[in-house]
Amino acid sequence: MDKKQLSSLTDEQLIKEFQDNNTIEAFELLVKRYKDPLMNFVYRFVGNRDICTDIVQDTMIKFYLNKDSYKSFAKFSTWIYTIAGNLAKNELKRRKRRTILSLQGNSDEDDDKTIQVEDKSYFAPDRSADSEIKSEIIQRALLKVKPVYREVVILRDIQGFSYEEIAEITDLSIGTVKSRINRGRSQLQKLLKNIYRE
Amino acid sequence: MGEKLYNSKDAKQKEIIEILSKLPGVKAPDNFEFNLMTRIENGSFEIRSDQPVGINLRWVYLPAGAMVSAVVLFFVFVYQPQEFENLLMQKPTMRSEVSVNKADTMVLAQPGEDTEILADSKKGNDDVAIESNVMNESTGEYKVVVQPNDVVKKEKIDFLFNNRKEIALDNYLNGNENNSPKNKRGKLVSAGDPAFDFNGFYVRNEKDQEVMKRLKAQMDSLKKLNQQK
Repeated sequence: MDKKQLSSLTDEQLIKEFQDNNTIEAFELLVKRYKDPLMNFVYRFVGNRDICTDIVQDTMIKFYLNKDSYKSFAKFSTWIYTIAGNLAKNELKRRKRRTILSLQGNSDEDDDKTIQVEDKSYFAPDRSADSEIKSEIIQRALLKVKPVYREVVILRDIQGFSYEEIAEITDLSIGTVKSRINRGRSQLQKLLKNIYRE
Repeated sequence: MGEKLYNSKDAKQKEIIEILSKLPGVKAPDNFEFNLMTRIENGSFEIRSDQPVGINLRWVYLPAGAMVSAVVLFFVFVYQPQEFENLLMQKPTMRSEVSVNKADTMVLAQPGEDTEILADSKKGNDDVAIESNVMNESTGEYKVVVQPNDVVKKEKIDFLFNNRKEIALDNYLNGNENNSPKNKRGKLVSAGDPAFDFNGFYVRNEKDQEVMKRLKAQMDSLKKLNQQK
């Protein structure tokens, strides 16, 4: 199967191709399709670009190594987001423990708390400085929301997943997803009340 | 990624939803795929561990470890369990249970009897004897001594304390020796000597002056006779 034919395939067809024939082009296509959405998701969740890149790379390697653990009845997107989400949560836990056990104060934590300014080359050149500041403030507020709420809010409002898909990704019931999204948004509203009134 | 369908709750939070949806997307670096494929080709699959590892707990366990080590060292090197018994806490032994063995004597103390044997200091070392059965008579303590030639002899035991709970001070001062009466010290208290009788105080009588004069006259006459001879 050549590249043109592969690019017309759905995600699930591509992973099937990769599973059955070990077609590396199918894997590359899936990486190409999901690298940016996953970067966006992980960055909003973790708040650090370098760590985010590492996590997404690790997600892809996990996908490469464990391609057979994917079952065809699930959506590929939910499967790959589950992997990325778990890696991102582990990273947060690791960072939290490192902060608690650190004898040298919380210098690392301070670094983590600083808002990472996005590389301007990724955005449209006509973007105003005001929106940049706003997006930084929003990111900072997002990182202050509890991780359990933050994850579902990002998946819903930034990544645009349905409740069912989020429930599948997070392995929660739809009711729990809805309530967590609601609480997450409420927390964000409190944190960002000055912004959205403008 | 499905469409956004706002329900009633979503409508209340419309503003925050709009703010979040307008956030600029973050893209992967340009060399992302190249780096990924390089890692895969090189087989360097070192994934950031799923498990929250890398927790350096050495400093947490350090005080506890030091404490345990100190306790172990204390018990190994410093602490010695007391093997001797505290005499003040000991139950006092019955007199009947006390028996003194000399190397050259064998004492057969029978329980229940009022037996007490002290080493006989008077006895010479040549006289190897088997002592047994201390006899309690009204006058004092006696012991039966079986001599090497199978002669059974009854000997009196000289106790430092007699029946009257007195100290035989005279014997002690004289060194328990049989001195001649001339060398013997005067008896101080005569304790322990049942034969001692108190005779009352000695009263000094003044001599009669006339008798003295008469005796002097007799002495003078005798002296004169001797000079005339």
